[in-house]
Amino acid sequence: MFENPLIAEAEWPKLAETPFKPLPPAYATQRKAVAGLITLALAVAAAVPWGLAAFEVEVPGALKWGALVASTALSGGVWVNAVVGFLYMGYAVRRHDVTFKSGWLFRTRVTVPMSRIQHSEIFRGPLDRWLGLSTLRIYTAGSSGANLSIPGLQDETAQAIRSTLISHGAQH
Amino acid sequence: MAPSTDFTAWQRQHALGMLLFTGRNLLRVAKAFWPLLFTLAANAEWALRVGIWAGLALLLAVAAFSVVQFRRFGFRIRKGALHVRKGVFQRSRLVIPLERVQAVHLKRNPIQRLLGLTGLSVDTAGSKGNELELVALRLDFAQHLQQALSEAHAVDADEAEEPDRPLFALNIRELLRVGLSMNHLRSGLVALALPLSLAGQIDGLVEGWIAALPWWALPLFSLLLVVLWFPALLLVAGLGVVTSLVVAVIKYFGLRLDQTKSGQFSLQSGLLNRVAFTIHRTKVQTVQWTSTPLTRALGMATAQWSQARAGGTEGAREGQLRIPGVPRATRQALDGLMFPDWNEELPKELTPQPIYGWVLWARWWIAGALLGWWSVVAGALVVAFGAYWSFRTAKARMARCSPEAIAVYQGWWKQRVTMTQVHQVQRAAFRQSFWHAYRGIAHVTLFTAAGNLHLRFLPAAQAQALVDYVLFETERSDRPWM
Repeated sequence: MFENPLIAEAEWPKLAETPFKPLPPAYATQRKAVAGLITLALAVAAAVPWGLAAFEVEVPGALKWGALVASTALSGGVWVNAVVGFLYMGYAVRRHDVTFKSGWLFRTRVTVPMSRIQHSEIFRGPLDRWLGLSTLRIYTAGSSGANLSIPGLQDETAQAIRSTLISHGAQH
Repeated sequence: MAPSTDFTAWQRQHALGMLLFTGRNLLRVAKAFWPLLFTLAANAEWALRVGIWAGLALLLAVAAFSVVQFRRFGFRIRKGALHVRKGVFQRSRLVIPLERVQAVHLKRNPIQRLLGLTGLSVDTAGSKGNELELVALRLDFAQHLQQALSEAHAVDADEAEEPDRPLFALNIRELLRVGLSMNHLRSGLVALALPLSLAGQIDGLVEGWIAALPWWALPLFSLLLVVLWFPALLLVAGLGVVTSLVVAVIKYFGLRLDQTKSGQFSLQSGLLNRVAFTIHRTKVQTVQWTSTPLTRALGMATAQWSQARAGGTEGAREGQLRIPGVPRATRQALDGLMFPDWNEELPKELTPQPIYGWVLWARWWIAGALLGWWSVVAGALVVAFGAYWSFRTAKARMARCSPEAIAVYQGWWKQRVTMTQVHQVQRAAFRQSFWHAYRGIAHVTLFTAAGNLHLRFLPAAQAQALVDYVLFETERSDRPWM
């Protein structure tokens, strides 16, 4: 009598078979720019003990080399994350829901049904504006903070997705 | 108040409300200025001369303010919305569509009972506090208002035909059993902390009291404490049980759950503060059943029905309906009402992969290694106990899914079952680390408006299918989720 809906081969649409759209190349540039800024800051921090040593301040060697190694490793990680993380990001807008996937070590794929969206916003930081990018934030009921946030969309794409969301809301 | 009260005209609360308003405002003033009052009390002579007149003037001012506040405060129901106007200096008007009303509570504290009044408050999902808080209403007026506010849901003709029917009630014996099955350790600590915190507030007084004791009293006390540690322990335990019983009686006295004509659930309880909580079935986002070894031994479980909450109030107690001491048969009946197609016999289909137990155990190894540094035996004991705990926890974790509902089971000591209707899910997340991806494992989190359901370490294909199914159900459903 009872049908087991999870194991049965079903007709519902499969998210894994949906082609995900990559984010625009400008967003890769943005991520690299941010990584560059962080590297710059780390380089300055690593240079401080060496600079002090040049002014004949007593600095232990462990501190000088430790700071250099740590900041090199950290900025290496930031660069790998900026480049590889970008490759793992993607979004899909289906008729009834919006999905965003991200993360390369820890992968997350969040889906929000359009009928459950409470409100949405488009956020543009200074770097975003320079490159013509927008972050689309979608909010659902019952929790704080943005529940789905797609960064690095082209301004027109973000607007288009948002108007899709709004028109879906108007139908119901 | 006549049953035919016309709620479309502006309504005020009962005239005795002026008294309550004045009392509340006086309390606020006292709270705001209590350091000042304290200093005045210390300089009693001066305070007597000036303070009486100033106090009298203040009292009059507060009373006058309260009367104006009372007269300004009005509410009405018009065109399917609740309108509220309030404020003396800063006036505000509020419009709440009735379909946004989450729950309507009736409350009576001892003072209100003395005056024969009832309080009423309205919850919406949008704000943390109550949108409308009325303190002085005649009981029948309050009941009519409660009904009028709930009318938005009374459209369903089938539901309207049904009579009021009782679902569950606690008699005094069951109430005491609820008290017996509470967390006595916590109760004992609360019972101990209460006098301690009071003592902290009157620090100076206690210090003076100690100073007045003869010189031999303190060593004697210390000696008694050392000798009598076992009776003291018994005392704390006994205190815990007694506190539990008292708390249970105060909170849950006369608890009863009914289903009203309009398909709402109504819960009443309380000895001193009598609370009546009304909520519609569609507004209940999650149902959670908790049981401990104690409650299971007595054949009971505690239900907690949660409504949608405003942002960031994770773990907030408000907006939750707690029903303690529910026996097994009633539990099935309640679940049947909430989730019509639910069935305890459903297969345990969503079980975590065996690796879950090992991952849990790995954390105990870290603790064991740290302890082992100090004592190898202690470290080994911790790791051994960790194995027991981890594998039992892993085994207890699973989920069941009917076409319309999903339930997540967790815990073996304290057991928790969290249930929701599939179409009430707000968003779904599929997570895995690179290592999980390699092993074919994934976690799923289903977010509802009242909390999240975590399904961990599922086979990736099953996790995938679950997310797809939940999205499919949510998106094609046209039933109200709130």
